Amino acid sequence: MQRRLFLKSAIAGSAVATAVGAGLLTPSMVFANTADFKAKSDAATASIAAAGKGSFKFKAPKIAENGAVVPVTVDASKMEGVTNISISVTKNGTPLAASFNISGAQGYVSTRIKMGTTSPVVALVTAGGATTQVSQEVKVTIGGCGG
Amino acid sequence: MSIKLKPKARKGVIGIKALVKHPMETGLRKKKGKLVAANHIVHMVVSHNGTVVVDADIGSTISKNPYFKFDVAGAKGDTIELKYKDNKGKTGSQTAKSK
Amino acid sequence: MKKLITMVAGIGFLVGAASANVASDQKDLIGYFKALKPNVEFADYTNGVYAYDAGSRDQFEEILDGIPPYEEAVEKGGKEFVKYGLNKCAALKDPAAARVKHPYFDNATQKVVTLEAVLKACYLEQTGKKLGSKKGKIARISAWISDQAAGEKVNVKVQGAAANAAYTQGKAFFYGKRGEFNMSCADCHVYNAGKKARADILSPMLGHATHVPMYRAKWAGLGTMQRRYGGCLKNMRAKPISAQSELMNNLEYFHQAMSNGLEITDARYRK
Repeated sequence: MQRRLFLKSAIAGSAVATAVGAGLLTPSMVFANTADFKAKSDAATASIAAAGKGSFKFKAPKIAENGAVVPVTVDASKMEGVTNISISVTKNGTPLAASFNISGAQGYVSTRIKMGTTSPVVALVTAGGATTQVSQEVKVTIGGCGG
Repeated sequence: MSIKLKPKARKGVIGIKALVKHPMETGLRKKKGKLVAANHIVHMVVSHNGTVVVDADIGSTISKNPYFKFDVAGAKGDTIELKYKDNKGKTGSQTAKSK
Repeated sequence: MKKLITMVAGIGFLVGAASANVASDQKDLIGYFKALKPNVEFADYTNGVYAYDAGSRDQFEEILDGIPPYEEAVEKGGKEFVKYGLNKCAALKDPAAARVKHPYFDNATQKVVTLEAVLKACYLEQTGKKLGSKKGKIARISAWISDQAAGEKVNVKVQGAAANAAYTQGKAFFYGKRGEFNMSCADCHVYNAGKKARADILSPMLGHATHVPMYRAKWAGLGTMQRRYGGCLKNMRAKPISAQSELMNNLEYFHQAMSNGLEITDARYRK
């Protein structure tokens, strides 16, 4: 589907193709959540398997109030030389939710993620070249009331 | 797409709270039988006084109207800027002086 | 358990009785909830269900500590309040006072008047157009108005025979069984408050009025109290009742009165 899109725009000489030509939009920007991002997601999944247990704080609810908005916080501010904080939802289609490259900020990130089903959520912190992880299962349920 | 940026300095650390208005569509959701096209932020950069402090690759697993909080050493009056780009190439940015 | 049954029977007896006494009804309710959850103080009920469960309270606080998802909508409501000339209507000149005053019983028209009813009337007067009763513009504007009263106490007044009659009808509705499931509002929000209905923890009715209109994560938006009523009726597979109808207004009158003395809050996020 992505290839067809690319060809379509190339043939049509559309704004996308023009922008790509002018260097304003690189292919990785246009298709980022496919090839490039998926590769990053696969790399993160591999990292998780290899990483030892982290000593940083990872906060996520045990039972999510709403699977569409699950607040998660990674606090590695006490660690030296944090260069990356990544968050991965194991059972999601593309597990990697985000990868934050830290280059001046503290090793702290708070955000809200979408979860389709009960799943472990993994926080990965890379500091001083070493990657460690903390995992927590978050239950996602179907509610009863609302209207 | 609007961005609410709220940097607040406290004891030498600026807590940066940001709420970006964006549908963050995964491209997998169906509405009335039709797939809603993927429409989400893919890249985001946060700068402090002109220097990049966070460079993030963002996926569609982040919630709609994403909220982020970061901490950076700094003081009241410092300038924080947030820029993002989505998968359609649209961009957004916001600047705020830390309170 | 025995104490609970006595409490429940006591409330039932009050429903049967023809008299309406807001103060004693509320006292019974407060006593009931205190017996149910001895560690929860009356004032804590401002945050309703979040006073009961630590896990969901944590998430509630995280969301509020970040930038609440309804913040922009409420700000927009404030702008709309001025844009549509609603600040020109006498009843809304002092928004904070307007929040605290409504719902009230208007002896002239012999009807309960809700804040939303006033908003609708004023909007029609100023723009010639109709405003919905449940979500969107009315919820935003009503939420902004309610924000102005944050910190003040809920203070619904029920005085006089006609007002008492409306209050009593509202109370009877709240405790009356309805729908295919043959359940009353009280079944969930009084008798089973704190317990779970599938994955939801049932909120106690004490404190329901402090944060209306509310933002519900389920709606991903704001909604008035009567939007919630509509949803509940649907869940109970009961016959739908129009928002801002006399019955719904009387229900709201009783419902809000039961939160008298609790602090109005601008933390209007709920599951």
